[in-house]
Amino acid sequence: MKKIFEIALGILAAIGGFVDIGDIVFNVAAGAMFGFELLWVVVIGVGAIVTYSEMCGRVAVVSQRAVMDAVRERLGYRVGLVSLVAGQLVNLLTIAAEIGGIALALQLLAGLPFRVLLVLAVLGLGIVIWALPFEWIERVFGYVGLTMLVFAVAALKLNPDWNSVASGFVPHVPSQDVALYAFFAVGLIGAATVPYEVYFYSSGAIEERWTPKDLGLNKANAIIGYSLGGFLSCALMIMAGALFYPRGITPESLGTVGLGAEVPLGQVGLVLALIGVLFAVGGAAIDSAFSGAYNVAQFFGWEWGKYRRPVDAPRFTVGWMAMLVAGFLIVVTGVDPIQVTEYSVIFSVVALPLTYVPILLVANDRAYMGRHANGRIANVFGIGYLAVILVISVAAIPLMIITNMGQG
Amino acid sequence: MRRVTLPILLLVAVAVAACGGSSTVSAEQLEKQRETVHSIAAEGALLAADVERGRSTPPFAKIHSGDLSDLADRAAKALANPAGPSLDAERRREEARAVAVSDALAQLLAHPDDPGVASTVRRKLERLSG
Amino acid sequence: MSDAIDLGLGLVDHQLIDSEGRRCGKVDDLELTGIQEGRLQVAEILVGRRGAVHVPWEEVAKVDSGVHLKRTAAELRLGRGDVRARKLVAWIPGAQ
Repeated sequence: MKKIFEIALGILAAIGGFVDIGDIVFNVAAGAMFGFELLWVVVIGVGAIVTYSEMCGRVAVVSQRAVMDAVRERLGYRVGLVSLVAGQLVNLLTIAAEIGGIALALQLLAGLPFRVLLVLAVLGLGIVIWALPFEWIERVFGYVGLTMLVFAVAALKLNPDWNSVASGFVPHVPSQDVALYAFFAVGLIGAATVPYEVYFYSSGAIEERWTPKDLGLNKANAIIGYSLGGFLSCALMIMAGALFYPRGITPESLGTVGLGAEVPLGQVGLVLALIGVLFAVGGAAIDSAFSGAYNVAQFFGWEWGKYRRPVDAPRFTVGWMAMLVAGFLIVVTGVDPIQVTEYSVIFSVVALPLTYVPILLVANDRAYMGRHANGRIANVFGIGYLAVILVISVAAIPLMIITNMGQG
Repeated sequence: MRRVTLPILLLVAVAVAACGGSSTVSAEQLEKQRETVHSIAAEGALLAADVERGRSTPPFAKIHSGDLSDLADRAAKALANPAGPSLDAERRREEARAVAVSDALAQLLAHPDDPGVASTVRRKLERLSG
Repeated sequence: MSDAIDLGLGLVDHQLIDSEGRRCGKVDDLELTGIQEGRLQVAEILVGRRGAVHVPWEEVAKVDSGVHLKRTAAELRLGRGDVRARKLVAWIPGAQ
């Protein structure tokens, strides 16, 4: 019974971690621009994050070292520092995007001024993190975030051409707008693999005291949880493909996402969708605040963990608070949170090899991992995705420039 | 003196030409703004239709129509600069369209729970997005 | 403890853990002796940039994926950044 409970917890955490503001923005935009043609890329993205997380989780459990720990041990101080700095910059952009997203969702629900909601959002997050134990945070945001499933209902209700949807899952290259298509493909995979997800997942494995006995659980979590997240991403894209694409509507704000649920499902659909977005993005904000704190503490060897009392891991505590404040400061300048989201995803793609490569190396290291080192299947996926990651990492910035951040 | 000022003059000329270039609307930019205004109008029409049939909430309708109206305003500003002579008539039409879209959305913003206003706004936006 | 350890991969940049299980820094550098005799031994672990804290090798209880120490962090003068930060955090209600 406890096992099923733990699996459920992990799945919910994975959904909350998978669907964040980056996934919402890119999947809806991709659907509006290309209809169902990019659905196959979502599947590739799910494969990427499953492969990556599973390796990080396994490394964490077997060696009791989370990502930045392993990065420093494998790459040393100087090279590891590059990975840390890049990872932290991306974490900062990400948390700013998520905090902005929370305030936007609150605004669409309550109509209050943006900056007031921004303050409320950060205070709320701080209080939740302070007051709730680790598992409860994940449960609350995960469960309520499941209302995002309303987008699946919306997609169904919009009655898309299911033949077109099916052919969207077959990999293909478009006949026109190739650069724009490639940009969205890169963005979709990037949004699915934002680094805070693996920093958080691997640290969470240690927070929750997983042992090598739990490695099967690790795999189940990764596969089921992230697949469900991928399902939600597809729902967003199908909804946009069915409603916005035929009308030539290009999403520019979070309200457009809400409209996608409102048109087929009315008030109830709208409110559930906004609440779902609020909690999914809220959970992601918390995960990225922790990731920022985990990374620095793990790199320098400081005590860390939500399972510790705040006074027992004080630098870690100050760390996640600083992340919340930094995210707030970035958004309060008035920058458009949707734009911050786009930049955070693109830069996360560029920085991705810097954490993926060390983990792949450590996961293959028998001295470290013993009999839990990568087997043949893990390496087929691990090295296969390394190639994908290297390609998109190099292509991301040129595509961003050529397509003017997907404006076409 | 002359050998030094010539490259500087060239630089200044290029700079002026570049700056000058951005204050006229090219055919590409005109097309882009046309698509943007169409998108805003189409989306606004969907929102207005929902408000008309009581399928939205006042805070959402208010905030989102406000956002859309601002976007249409920005498009109108981008279209305010003159285009080349062959394009200018079309540019002025598009600018007028952007302004009309923005105004219609502003009406919805001011009356986010009035089905009557929403109905008028919807018909206007459907016409403007056609 | 007389087993040979790969200093590069097995020691440097690894986590230090005190006798109470607290994380208290990384092995930032090593002080080695015995170069003349041709038998390298670790004399001290240096912690902190610029080797601020020296931990004699005798303080090491065990080396597995981390370096486990025989005494507490406080006794070895490690993890002092946390001591300083603790004063800040202790102000907030519920920190204990």
